[in-house]
Formats: sequence, structure tokens, C-alpha cells
Amino acid sequence: MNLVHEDFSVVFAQASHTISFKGAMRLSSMRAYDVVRDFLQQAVAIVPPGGRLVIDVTALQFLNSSGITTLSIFVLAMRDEKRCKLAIRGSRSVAWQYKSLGNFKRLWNEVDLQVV
Amino acid sequence: MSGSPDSGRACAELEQKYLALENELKDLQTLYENNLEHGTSLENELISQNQRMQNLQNKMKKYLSPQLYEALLGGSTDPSNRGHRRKKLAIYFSDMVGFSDLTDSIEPELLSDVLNSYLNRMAEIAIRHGGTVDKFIGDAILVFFGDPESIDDVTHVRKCTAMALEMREELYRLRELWKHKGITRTLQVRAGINFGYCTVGNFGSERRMDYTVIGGQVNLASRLQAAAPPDRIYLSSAAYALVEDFVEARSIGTITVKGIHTPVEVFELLALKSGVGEQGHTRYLKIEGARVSLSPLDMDLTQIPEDELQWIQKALCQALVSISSYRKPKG
Repeated sequence: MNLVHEDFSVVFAQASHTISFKGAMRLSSMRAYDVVRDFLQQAVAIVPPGGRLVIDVTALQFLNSSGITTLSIFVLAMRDEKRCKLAIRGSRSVAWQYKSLGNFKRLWNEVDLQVV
Repeated sequence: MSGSPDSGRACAELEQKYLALENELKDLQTLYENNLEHGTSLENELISQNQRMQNLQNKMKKYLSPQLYEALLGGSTDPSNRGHRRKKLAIYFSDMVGFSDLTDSIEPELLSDVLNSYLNRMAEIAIRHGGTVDKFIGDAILVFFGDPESIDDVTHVRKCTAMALEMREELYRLRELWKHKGITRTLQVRAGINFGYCTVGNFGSERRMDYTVIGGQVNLASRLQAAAPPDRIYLSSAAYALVEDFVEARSIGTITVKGIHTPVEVFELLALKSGVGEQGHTRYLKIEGARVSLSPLDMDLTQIPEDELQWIQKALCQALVSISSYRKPKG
């Protein structure tokens, strides 16, 4: 399952339950991110109850405010649903990730966060 | 006082709703704060990227002529565009005589100092005259006039000849400096100027582009340079025809150059004509054909302003060039 845009791509590997983001996400509004939100919801629905979804943003060079809000709302929804666990993988060498990924733990303390 | 079971249930529901709303508010607050921090981080990143870009632009400035830099940064030239066009240009070629022999006889540090000071000064002069410094090939220099900024043919050749003469004078000055640094060998430069249709634009591969000029007229400028004796500047007849009223030159006659089947008419560029522009040195020097008149000089160097000294130096340099380039008619 994948979502390909001019500036970015999102791929869901069903075997490892990993969603990998790549490129630069700078869609113009929250509404424009509906397509990403739907993709995330479809992916998490495939993960069996009690399983773990991995979101890998290591190769995502840029994410604008609407994008981070979309991801944050998704994290909150997973937290409230309590159906499966969430792991987030990022890179310290990408400036926005180094600063912003830690904030996902403020939304859901149980997020397994690895920024390397 | 206790209420009915219904009101107790309603109260508990309300409390639950209140708690849920409070949690939602907390989430929204966290979301808001996270978003603000993310936005700030992006802004800071933007500022640092801008700074990096500025630094990069400053570095680029060193490698490009101001005209080309402006064209690229101002967006009038697309560097990724491999387009090129035919244009009339004035082309200047120069090469240092015996520079490679010098590489064996002096320390590399001194050699690079000599080469850098020479190229630096020549590039400054070229840029000041509005030339596009195409490239340095070792100690050789290629400058052209007419692209990306275009004025008119006469102005391009005028600027080119004025630049060539100033470069030569600067070389004489540099030689004195180099002598003091222990370089006993006299470094001389030969130069050629041509004017005509060239192909100018971006050439190269996807990975490496070069903004340059190519064509037969460029080759001719290079051949004129190779044919010129040391410290002389050769002009093609096409270039000379446009600046006859601007420069002093003497006919060399026709020469045969490699790659061009018909003999080429050549002139030697001697000086700018007296009274041309604001040339203060013309107060001290008059050149009319083979007659060179220097004003009597009796100077107290401590009393002469810096500008005036430079004009005197220029007058003496031009007089020396005229004397050294003069050939007595045969017979």
C-alpha cells in the first residue's frame, strides 16, 4: 500500500506494519492532509489488536505545521482507541525531527520513540 | 442533602463529560504547544538555511563575474538551461610567457602567490571594465564583452581594449613587486583581441555546466594571442575597425594562423588615443604615430598626490610600451 505525491511518498509495509515517510510534506492545509490521514487509518486497521504500528519518518526531510498536526491527531486517536501500540522512528540529523518528535510522548507517554 | 437516583446519575454523567472535556482541552493545549514549537523549529531552520544560502552566494561571487552572478541570482539566466545563442562579442585572450618554466625554479608557495596576485588583479580589472571572466586556464585568461550584459558592439570592443591596456600596465607594476620577492625572471604576457559572432551559453553535462563562449572567433582570439610577441596585444582587423578613433595601433600586416586558411590582418594595440576619456596621464604624454612626447619631469615625490603619481606612472609605462613596440621601417 502506498501513497505517492510529487514531493513525498508514504509506504506501508504490511509484513512489518511499518509506515515509511519520505521527501518533504508541505501540503497547504489540514484538509489537504485528509489523504494522509485516511492512509494512516487504513494502515492501522490492518495491524492486529495488541500489535504494533511503526511510523518511520527518518527520510522525511520536511513536515509543515498542518502535517505535524495530522500526525499528532492520529497519535491521539491511537492512544484513545487502545487497540495497538505505536513506535516512531526518526533521525537526529533532520532538524525538525530532532526538535518535534519528542513532543509525541507528551501526547501519549507510551509511544516507543527512537530518534537516532 | 441527597438527591434522587436519577439526579445522582445525571450528576455522575456530567462529571464524566466534564472530565472528558478537561482531557480534551489538555490534549488541545498540548497539540497547540507542540504545533507552536514545531513552527518555531521550522522558522529557525529557515533562518539558518537562509544564512547558509547567503554564505554560498558569497562564495559563488568569487567564482563568477558580477554580471553573470546577477543574471543567475536575479533569475534572468537559468543555470540548468543548456541553451545557447549566437552573439557578437569582443573576446580577450592572454597567456603568460614562460610561466611553466618558473614552476621549476621557485618555491610552490611563492609561485601560487604570484599566480593568485596576478589573476586576482586581472579579474578585478576585467570586472571593473564590465567584462565577463570566462575562465582561467592556469595562467591564461579568457574574458569577453557583450554577454550576459549587452550594450553595443563599439562599446564592447572599446571596453575590451581599455581593459587589455590597463591589464598590461598592472602587470608592469606587479613585476616590480615580484622582483622584490626574489623573482628575477621577467614575467611577460601576450594577448589577443577579436570581435565577431560567437556561440555563448551553458555547455556541459547534467552534472557539470559551464557558461562559456565557443566558435571560430574565439579560436582566432586565441591564435592572435599565440602570435603576439611578449608584452604585446594583437587586435584583429574586425576589432580594430570598431575602435580606430579610440586607440593607437599599428598595422602588423597579415599573418597566417593555425586553423584559418586565409591570412589574417593584424594590428598591434599600443595605447588609448590622447584625450580619450578621463585619462590624466595625457597631461604628461602625447603619442602621435611614431612621435612620443613626454613632459619634462622634476618631481618631489613627497609633494605629489597619490592620483597624480599614478597618472605619471601610467604615462611612463605607455611611453615604454611605445618605445619597446616600435619597429624601424626596413631600408
